[in-house]
Amino acid sequence: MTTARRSDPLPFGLALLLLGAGVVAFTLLSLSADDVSYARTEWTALLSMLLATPAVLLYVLDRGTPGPWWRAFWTVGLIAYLLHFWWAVFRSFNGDLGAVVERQGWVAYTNFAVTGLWTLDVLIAWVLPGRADTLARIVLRSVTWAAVTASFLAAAALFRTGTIAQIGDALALALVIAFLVRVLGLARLLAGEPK
Amino acid sequence: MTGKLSHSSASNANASPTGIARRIVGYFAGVVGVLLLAASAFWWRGEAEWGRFEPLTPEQAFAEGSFGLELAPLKYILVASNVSATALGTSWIRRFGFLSRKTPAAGACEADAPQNLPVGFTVSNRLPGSATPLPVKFVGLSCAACHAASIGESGPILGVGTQTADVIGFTDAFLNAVLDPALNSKIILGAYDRQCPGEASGFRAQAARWVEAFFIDRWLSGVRAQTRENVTKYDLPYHGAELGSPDNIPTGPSRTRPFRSVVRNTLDLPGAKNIAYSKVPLAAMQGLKRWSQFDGSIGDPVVRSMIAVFTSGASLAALNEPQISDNIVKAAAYTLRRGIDPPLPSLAETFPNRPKPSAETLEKGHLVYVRACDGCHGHPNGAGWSLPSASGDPPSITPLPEIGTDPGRIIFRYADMLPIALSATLPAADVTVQREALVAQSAKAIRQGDLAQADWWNEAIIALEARSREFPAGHRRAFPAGDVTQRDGYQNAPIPFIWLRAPYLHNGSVPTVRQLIGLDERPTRFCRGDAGYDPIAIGVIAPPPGANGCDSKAPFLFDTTQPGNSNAGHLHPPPGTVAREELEALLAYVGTL
Repeated sequence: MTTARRSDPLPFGLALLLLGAGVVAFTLLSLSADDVSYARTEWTALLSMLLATPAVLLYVLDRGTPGPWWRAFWTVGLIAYLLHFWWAVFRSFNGDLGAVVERQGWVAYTNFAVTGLWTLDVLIAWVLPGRADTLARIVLRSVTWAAVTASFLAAAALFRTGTIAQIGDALALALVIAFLVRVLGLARLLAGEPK
Repeated sequence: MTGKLSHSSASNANASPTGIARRIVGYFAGVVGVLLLAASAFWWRGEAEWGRFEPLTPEQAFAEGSFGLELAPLKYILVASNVSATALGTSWIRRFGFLSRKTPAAGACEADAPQNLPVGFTVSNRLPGSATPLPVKFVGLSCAACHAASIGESGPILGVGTQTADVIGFTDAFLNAVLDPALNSKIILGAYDRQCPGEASGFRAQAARWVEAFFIDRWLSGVRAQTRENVTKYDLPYHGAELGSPDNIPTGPSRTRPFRSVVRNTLDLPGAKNIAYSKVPLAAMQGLKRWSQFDGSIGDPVVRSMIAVFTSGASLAALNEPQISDNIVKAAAYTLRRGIDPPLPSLAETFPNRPKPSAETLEKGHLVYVRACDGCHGHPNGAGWSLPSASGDPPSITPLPEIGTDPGRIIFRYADMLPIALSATLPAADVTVQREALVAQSAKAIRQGDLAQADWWNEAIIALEARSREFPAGHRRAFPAGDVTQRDGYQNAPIPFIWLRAPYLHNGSVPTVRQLIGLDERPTRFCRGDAGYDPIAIGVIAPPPGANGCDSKAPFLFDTTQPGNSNAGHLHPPPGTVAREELEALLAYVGTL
């Protein structure tokens, strides 16, 4: 499994292509926006959510250890999120972390936590792929998944309106469907039905 | 499930033709992705370079700084007289009263800019509107475009209100020019290449030219879309001979309609009926008073400069740019010191051949000044100025019924809404106070039965929240509501360099001091333009209209019977209270201020 992850370039290659295309698109399209920095802050968040969504859903659908597709999209989603983090902190907040905390309160700490957890999770997924099934790894992966997913849903579906909220709703619906598929598959397995 | 299937099958499939194709596609996609990321990073690096922060001196900021008022690509401006001759004319700088930099050696190419542009036309790499850095040079306006004048034989004097520029006429002509359906990057760059041959040779220059063509077309598309969007509120721009008719554009040279702009920009409401015509004031010696503007309505010089830039069309995003924000602060600082350091020229220095008044005349004039003027305007005190109201806070205001000058600048629809609305336009880091002010306005409107205005304030609360998300650390130029307030009259302000304040009264309806103090009758109708300066009467030369109206030197007919143009009021010294000889002495004395 480890060998396959290292040798199969398709998942990460395609994910990188999507990330590159998305980054070029928001860089150039934002030039038409009234406020380029704000547009880039918003659009990097959206890009992160879109790129990470396959990984979020695969995590629910996959009964075993997440595979290379999960890792590929989980990674490019994080890169887009880090771009969002950079634009938010250094452009919108003028590089003042204190201002972020003052403005967002406890939400700022959850955002910092999500950033740290996600980065750690992705680093381990690449550096220590052989330890994917240890308890500590499973716990970290689960907590990170829950934190990132909750962050996306809250930021898009709860706190926003318009297109972004609709995308958040779509993610929520896809998650429900993924859970149903997973639960039904599990039920069939328990009942001894063939896959 | 999907992931496991993929990677468990991949090892077996690697050697198969399908596996090889999979690897090729994977690596190719990855390489393209990395290249796209590298290209984006390269662009962001470029943005940092094109928009690199340069700490300017106050004078540099005032004269050459970018304020987010970029108009058009530099190459378009350089060929505008050629490719947009129908809309702008073949000599638009002179036509609209802008000042030449008096550097005749400067050529007509990009490398010669800004020396080949009018005073106050600056060069930056900022995209009009958002002020985003780009690899294309654009021309914008600085403070000096309006606050510089050339008087007598002097070159441009920074800080003096323009006596010739017709900014609103120019704006309409410019909009006509860019709406020309035939105008595109090919026409512009083709004309530029004929004007400056040989610049586009070589691969790098050609690549830069493609980028330039792309952004010129994007700029044209954007400015056209914006103009079309605004047309229901701003109306179609005038063109040709219409531009010079006071029936269409009632301001003419040296005047603007600042509150029409504020009503449009801040309230997003129509301002067409607004008749608050104001001359472009002397932007010097501003440190002598706490409150600025003719009505003493703005209590902070930086806020005053920011509002001037905002009403001239800068976007909130542009005003939040570190460079632009800093330029505003520096330019404001310049207006506080200009006149002292660096000094302004005196009337005697500028017109050395003007007959020098005797010491006796000046002393007599001084006595009249003390009797008739000092009580409101104060007097020189060394390098400073003594005002009757020493603190200047709140400013000394002469109410409108008492001063009797044109009321258009004080009384207009929405005037009461502007202070709160303006302060809530730029969100602070914590918008609680701004929100509460808007809520209070909404409640007040409901109490008054003005439900439409209450609805407007409610929408303003929503807009404030949205802007607060856009500027979560607070807008760099946010200001407290108390810095802008509504007055019921005009401020009794210091009047150093009175000779540089012509034409007189806030609306420029009295051409000379001689007419202002009652030595000559104030003309009912006169012609304005670039007819020159009269150092004897102290003011602008404004000839009466002839049988065929005004001539080309001073083409704008100023009719003081029209709304907003009244030359009544400020009858000081009161008519009949001072002998003519004493008035002559007063004229001589104020020429020394």
